[in-house]
Amino acid sequence: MDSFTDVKEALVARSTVASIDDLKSQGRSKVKVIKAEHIAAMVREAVENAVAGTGMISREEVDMLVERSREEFRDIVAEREQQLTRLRDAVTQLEEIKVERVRLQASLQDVLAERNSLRDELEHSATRIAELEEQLANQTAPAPAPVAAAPSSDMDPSLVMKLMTEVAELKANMSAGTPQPQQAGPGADEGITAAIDKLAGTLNDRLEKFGRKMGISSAVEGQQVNFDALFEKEFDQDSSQKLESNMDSVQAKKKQEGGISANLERLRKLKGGG
Amino acid sequence: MNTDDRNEEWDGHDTTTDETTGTTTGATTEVALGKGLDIGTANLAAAEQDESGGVTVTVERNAFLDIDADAYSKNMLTKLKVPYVVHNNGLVVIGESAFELANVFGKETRRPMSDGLISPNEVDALPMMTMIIEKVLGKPRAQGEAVYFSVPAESLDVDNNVVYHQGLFESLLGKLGYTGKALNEAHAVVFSELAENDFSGIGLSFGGGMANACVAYKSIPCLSFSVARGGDWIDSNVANVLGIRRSKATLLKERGVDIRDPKNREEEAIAIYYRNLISYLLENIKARFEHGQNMPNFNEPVDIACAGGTSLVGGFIEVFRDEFAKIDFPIPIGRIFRADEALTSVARGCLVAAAIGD
Repeated sequence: MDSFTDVKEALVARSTVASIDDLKSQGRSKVKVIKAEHIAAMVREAVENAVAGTGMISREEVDMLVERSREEFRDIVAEREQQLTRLRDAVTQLEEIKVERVRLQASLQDVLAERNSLRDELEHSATRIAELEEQLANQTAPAPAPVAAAPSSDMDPSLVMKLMTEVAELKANMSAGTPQPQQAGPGADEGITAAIDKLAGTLNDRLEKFGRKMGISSAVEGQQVNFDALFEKEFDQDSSQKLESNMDSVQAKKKQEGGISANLERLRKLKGGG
Repeated sequence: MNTDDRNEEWDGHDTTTDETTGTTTGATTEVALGKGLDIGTANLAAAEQDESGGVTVTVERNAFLDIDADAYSKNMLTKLKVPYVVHNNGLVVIGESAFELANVFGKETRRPMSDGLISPNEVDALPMMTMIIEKVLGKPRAQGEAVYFSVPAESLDVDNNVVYHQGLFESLLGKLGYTGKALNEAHAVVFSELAENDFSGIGLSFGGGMANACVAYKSIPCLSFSVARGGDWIDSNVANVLGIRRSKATLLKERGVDIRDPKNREEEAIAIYYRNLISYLLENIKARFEHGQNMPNFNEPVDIACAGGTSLVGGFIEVFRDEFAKIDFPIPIGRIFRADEALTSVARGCLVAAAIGD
């Protein structure tokens, strides 16, 4: 490759492409154009003339100088290209980081939306509790029309107070997330008990629904899965597909190690002399 | 001792079973029933008590290799006492022999398990594991003999589920005439190595597919988790870096490296990934302690017991102590040691659990 080609390639490598529209947008309506070959030829001519004009070095030395300059030039071009490649890689990595950040921001938005939805659910549950309390309180007020009631439904004020207390406790338990305390009041009125059960059932339903959304509701354990069918072929004595092998005649290597009696004794002591 | 499953006499054996002690009496001596089984990604190990009160362990590589099926090969394998099965019209060599042959032929072994659990990608996993487990466990000494088998804890860094794995092996052991019960792998290390500390401390099991951790207080596990990095992770990364097969990396690792003082490029790569594994596990234990609820308060220093085949490499404990010294651990630690029998520690711990029973 001669110096002419080197200069041309270097010029091409360092140049950028701009469309006519880009130039127009920069306010340029006319540009001067020169071919890379002309520039290379001018550079070569200038160097040769300058060197020949000094009369200080011979033609051979000029050629050697030119060759060395060409090599130097090639090295510089290669180095610049490596720098450009590294820069491009860094830009790509930066883009990837930006994309990841956008993705994480989107995830964060989803989590915040979920949180808001759960907050709304909680408020709704609290409103429902208030409604139930109001209904319960209204039952204590004298009603103009007869209301169907369970037998022996005398509204003892002390029982009403007890009911109100229980509802307040239920509400507190729902806020705290603790299980409802067992209530076994002797002499509790059947009608009041039924109302409490209904209230508790409604609250439980709401808690369950809330819990499922939060992912903390306990699922009902199903039956343990039986994997026996997976081993039918291996353990079917009559199967013609039983694997042929020499395993019965090859003994596994066994090794003797220290006993575990000390461990067992300690463990039994820990468990209370088992 | 749970004797509910040992009410039947074992047909064909000249033994009687004592229902109150869970022992089987042979001709002259009593043998305590119950076996321990370490179902590891790289190795399977079984432990049982023998007549002399010692422990007999059987270890087999959890791998198999397909080779061409012909009469000559079959005869040679039989003469050389290499275990094989005929499967899908081919010969399948099982266990340690498979690993040796793979390195001779320049092939990779097939692995029934991956990352601590039964491999979903290996279609022949189940029949091969059945063979290997049957080989290491042998026949039950009494019908329904209890076998406590190791299971990993849920992983912090990958999405895995142990339920299928556990159920599968319970069924498999049932088919072999045993009663299988699962035990956390690192908890088994606590049983086998921390007896002197009243089973309080930290048990770590460095296996092929995973590293498991268990913090226990008086034998009760307070914290158990695993990370999906183990010996296979080291092998894969070393193989990638060096441009070699994974089984070759395993061979390099197992032939006698000292990770404190690597001698060449291969050993350097192995040492780097070992340090990374240890550091990763310690950081996760620390994080779980700092963020976990209901963690015990250890006022006295507790010991850390390391076990598992991956911890067998030379210099492991020294490097572990190095990495431990770099972090500010939230609880006081006394000794850091590796089990004398690191490869079989989990199986021995399972045996302790089986011998004690429920």
